[in-house]
Amino acid sequence: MRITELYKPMDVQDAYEKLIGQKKATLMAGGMFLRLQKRTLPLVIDLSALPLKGIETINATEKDQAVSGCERLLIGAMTSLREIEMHPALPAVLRESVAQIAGVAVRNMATIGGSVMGRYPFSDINTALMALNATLHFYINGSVPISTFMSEGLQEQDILIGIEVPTLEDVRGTYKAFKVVYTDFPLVNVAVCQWPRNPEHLTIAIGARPGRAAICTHAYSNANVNVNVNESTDLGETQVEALLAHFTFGDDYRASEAYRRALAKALISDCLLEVEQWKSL
Amino acid sequence: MEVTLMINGDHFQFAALPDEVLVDTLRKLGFKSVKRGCETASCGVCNILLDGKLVPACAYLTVRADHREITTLEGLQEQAREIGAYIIAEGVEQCGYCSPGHMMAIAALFKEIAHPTLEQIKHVLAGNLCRCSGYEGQHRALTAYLSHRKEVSP
Repeated sequence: MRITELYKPMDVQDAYEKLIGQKKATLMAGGMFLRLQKRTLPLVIDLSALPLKGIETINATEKDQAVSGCERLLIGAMTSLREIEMHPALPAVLRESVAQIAGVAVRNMATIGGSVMGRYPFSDINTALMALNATLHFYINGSVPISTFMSEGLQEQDILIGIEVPTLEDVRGTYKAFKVVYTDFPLVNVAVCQWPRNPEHLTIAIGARPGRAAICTHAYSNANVNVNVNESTDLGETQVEALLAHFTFGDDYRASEAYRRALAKALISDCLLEVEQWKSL
Repeated sequence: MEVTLMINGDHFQFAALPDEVLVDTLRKLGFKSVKRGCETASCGVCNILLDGKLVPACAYLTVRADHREITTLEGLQEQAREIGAYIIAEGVEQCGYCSPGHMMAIAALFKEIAHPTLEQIKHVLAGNLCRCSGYEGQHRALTAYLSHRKEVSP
């Protein structure tokens, strides 16, 4: 990466005006993936000085209160993945999803906002956020469900301010991924969330299926499926297969479609075993 | 762009290009413990502490570190001697190239957790690669160091 000019705004309005004021201006959050790109960036807008870090409690909308409680958590877009990993108030599914992303040093730099905006198909945290039905808060576009953003992207330039998720009390979830080595990109990942206010309702997200090679230009390859389950949540093999039928998988140089599907089946089965254990809590 | 860095307690002021990264800056300033390895933030040999947090110097823009506190292994001599004694005792080092990065990761962990378990250490050291060993030596050395720390300050 080469940078011709770097600008460090102190507030979001300033950052936004700079973004729309120059063609090919690039926002830099953590900068981990930008660093790896072999291109020259005429203007980089460094977001590190903006007050977009940290986690606060906010009131839930009426629509969200039907599923989760009266309160939600708003995670600032520039909050690092390590802060998310270590924050005790965040749902376990989110904390688990970031724990094996590269090393601690990288997680201290990489941000949740940068991960979301990249719409990377191999993303661990985006799968967890999809299962949590997270809401994204943009400076211009306001609140956007993450599923909408992942499938459609943005029609105009914008700055992500925060990511809204349910509180620890309002969701139970688990995240599992298959990685060749501990800190690798996943071959496939799965997140399952259960909502105590509606315990027969599971949200299941599968990511890194793998999506196509042109990560930046193709729509996000994750999908989530709300599945109503029986009292026992005892999904037998045929029901897991039926659940998997909602998702598409593909080949790439890392794994075949068949292998990914087999891995996803095993991971979902493991997740559902955990869901069974939650019932006795 | 004018940059001021506080490195191991000393002030450094100089001009930096917008895309200059800390590994280049620090090595130019004489802090050779910060090694150049993969240059993709994957191997951990360039680990430094920035305001007390572990970051990869190969991926951190120098201008972003303006007016921040940087600690390299040169600034942790007492702790490095302590941990280093256990590393030597267990015969961990072969080429030694990865050791500074490992030590910085351990130093950062002890700032967060005073008495980490071996599992917590392994989790943190997952971002540090060693081409020579199978990591068992590092784990033995750190297990012994942990026991010593608990005896000294329970």
